[in-house]
Amino acid sequence: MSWFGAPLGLFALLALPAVIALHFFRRRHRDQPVTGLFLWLDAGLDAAAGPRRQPLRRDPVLWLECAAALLAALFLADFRPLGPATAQHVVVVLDDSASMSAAEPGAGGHDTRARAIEEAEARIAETGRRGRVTLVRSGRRPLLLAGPAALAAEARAALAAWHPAAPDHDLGPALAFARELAVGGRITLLTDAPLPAAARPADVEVVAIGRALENAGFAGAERVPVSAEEDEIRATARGYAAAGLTRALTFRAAGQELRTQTLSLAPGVPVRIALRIPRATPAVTLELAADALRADDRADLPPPPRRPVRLRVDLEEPAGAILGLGRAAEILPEVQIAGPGAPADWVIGHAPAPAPAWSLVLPRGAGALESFLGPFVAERRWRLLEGVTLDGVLWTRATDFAMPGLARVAVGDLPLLAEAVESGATVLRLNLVAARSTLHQSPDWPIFLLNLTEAVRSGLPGPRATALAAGEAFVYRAPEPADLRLAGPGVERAWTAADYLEVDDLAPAPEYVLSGPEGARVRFAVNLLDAAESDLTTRGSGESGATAAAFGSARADSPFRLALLAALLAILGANWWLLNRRGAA
Amino acid sequence: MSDPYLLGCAWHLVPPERPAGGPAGQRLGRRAGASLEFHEYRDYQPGDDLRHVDWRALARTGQMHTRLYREEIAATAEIVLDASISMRWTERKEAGLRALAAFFVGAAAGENAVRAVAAADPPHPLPSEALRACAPAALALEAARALPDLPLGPLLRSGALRVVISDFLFPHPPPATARLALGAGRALFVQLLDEAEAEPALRGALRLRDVEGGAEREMMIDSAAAERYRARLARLSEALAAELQRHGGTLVRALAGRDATGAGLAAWARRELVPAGWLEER
Repeated sequence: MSWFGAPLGLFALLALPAVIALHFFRRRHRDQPVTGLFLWLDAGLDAAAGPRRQPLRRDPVLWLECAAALLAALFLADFRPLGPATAQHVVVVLDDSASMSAAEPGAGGHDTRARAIEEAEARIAETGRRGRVTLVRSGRRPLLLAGPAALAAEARAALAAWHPAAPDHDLGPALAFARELAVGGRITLLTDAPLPAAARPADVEVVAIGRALENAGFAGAERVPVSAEEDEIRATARGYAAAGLTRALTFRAAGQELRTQTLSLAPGVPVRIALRIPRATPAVTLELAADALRADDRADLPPPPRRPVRLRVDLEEPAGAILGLGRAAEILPEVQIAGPGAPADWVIGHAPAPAPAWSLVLPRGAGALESFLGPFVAERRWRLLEGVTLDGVLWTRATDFAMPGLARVAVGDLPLLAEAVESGATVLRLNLVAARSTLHQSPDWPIFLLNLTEAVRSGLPGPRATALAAGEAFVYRAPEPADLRLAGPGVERAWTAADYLEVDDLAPAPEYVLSGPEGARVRFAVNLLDAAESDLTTRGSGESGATAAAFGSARADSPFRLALLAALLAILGANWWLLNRRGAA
Repeated sequence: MSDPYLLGCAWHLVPPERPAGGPAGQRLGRRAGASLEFHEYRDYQPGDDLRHVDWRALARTGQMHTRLYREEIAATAEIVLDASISMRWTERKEAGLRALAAFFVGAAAGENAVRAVAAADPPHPLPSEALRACAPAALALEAARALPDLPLGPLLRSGALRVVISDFLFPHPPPATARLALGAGRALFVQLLDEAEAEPALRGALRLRDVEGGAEREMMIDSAAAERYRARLARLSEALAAELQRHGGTLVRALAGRDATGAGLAAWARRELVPAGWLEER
């Protein structure tokens, strides 16, 4: 195998026995001019009467034709006794989406990952003994599994360790990455669904090895605090099949079964499940009966992080009452009202609070005022203004209120909300005279407060979430810089003196543990909650694209192949000359 | 003496019994005629010319006898030479053709008006002087058409002594070939063959190519095939000879190497032509 780039070309060796057989039956008809051909017509034995076996003559023509057949076979088989002059390079792009791990339940059923590995192995084998292989794993950020230009053994080891688990993603970045690495080599994409015609790259061999299968899985799962004593498990399950599916669902915590129920999953109809549990309940596991895709049959929901935001209101009354800040703890999740002078993470007052607390500064409203009905110019992409429209709002501002910083809301050229960083803390100045405005009566006010609360919370120590959907980044802020280590299935990462972590591309797993010097700090889970991956009904097989031509031209460039070709032509020329000379004689 | 013309001059062609054409009185015919040379007596028959009744004998014997005189013959000898490509199949055969032509010009000279005709394409007369010297330039052997297919009629004389030299190796039926003898006083067909044509030594796998038509056939030739060829050639010659005989003609065969060169030519003439009454020594 390794001596030949195209072993099928060895079939040309069949020409050897054919040549010898032809020589057994060959008649060399010498040219003979005659004067009375008609006298011979019935006299001689017509050559068309059928061949007769004749003794094989040791004829130079026979040897030349045998040599030509042999050389032709070697040429077609891409014979390289010393291996390719330039090692053949194949870049295999592995679609890492979770659906690539689909497998029909039961022994002997279709296994997409196994098929992908087979195909990759075949491409590796085609590169020959000295071939080089690069394995690229697709994803939002493509990753090199082996290579660039690794030996076949390394590539095979990486293939064996590959377990596709990523959420739905675009294959384009991986292909672009592969093109950079290929440098004229062959690129093969292994995926589980044929690409639409418009998306098929011409320079990439696309091999789809999937199969349409029915499947059921979780499309969403979260654990939400609903009171001081209880959390609520909320999940969405969906069936992906032509007909309805029935699945058993089990809730477990600390090894104990909390509840079991049977779900009837009609095609395309999500089924929502909810379960209230005591807040002290450890991680809860939701599990559906196993089917084609195991990754979406399970969701792990550890206790959500507790990061209450402390809010202190230093406004002079009646502004605080008008703005409804007394009820902030009720309307804003995980917010505690701090008493006067108490430490707070967020302070609303008429002057900036000391760092690191966030400050929302409002004017006292004693001086000249100016009212506007709009139009307001708001930077809606700013996270604090997400969902804020300011429609129908009457806004009264104090004309003498200084507004340093970056304007986020303005009317004309007058800033109404500005953001500044002072002494390392964020200071928001809101030029709003509450008593003469209607902002607090519009839905924009609680939305703004909620956005502000979450922005403040994001600066607090701790993880942002402990139950992540695959593809979602794990974000952690340490109280102070520390050496941190993240451990999980196939993952082992460490950071030195880190106070902020953002880790993405974590594969679905029931538990990851973030540890500091003192021990485990956070346990979190990553769940596959991706309907695009769970829907296996769109999977299939097929091949498209063509790199054979480019691959072939690389072979044609081989000096040994050119030498074979030259020798073959020389032998054919010599044979032709010999036969011609005999004809003339 | 190896000059075929001089060899031919040692003989003379026996003319036809009824010459037609040619200057009168150059030769005596074999039949009785109106010349002054007495030939024989015979009994008077009604209708005989009364001027030839021997009145003296009548007075002596009382029997009427008619004096017969030898007929004067004004003969023309036509030598028709096959100018087809096959006649130069070998140098030997071509030399044989030229030697035979010179020989017959020599044999016809003196007592006959000699006319030579090239059965070329188109046919044309040849100067007999050129044939005397066996000059190759006198006769180009290039015709691709067979003898019976050529328009020879306008060049041939009725009643002439006609010698046709050819290999007669064409697939035409013998009657078509024998028509060349029509109108001739006497017709002698000389079949000139190379020895390799008469006794082919070909063996093995051959691509036989006809030198005139260019037709080809791949064949296996063995001794049995050669024998079948010889048999076919013999049948062809026999059929042609029989057909010629019906027209008062004669077919004789000459082998180029044996019979058409040097002493072989004289021996051939004695063996083939004298017994057949075609040549007489001068």
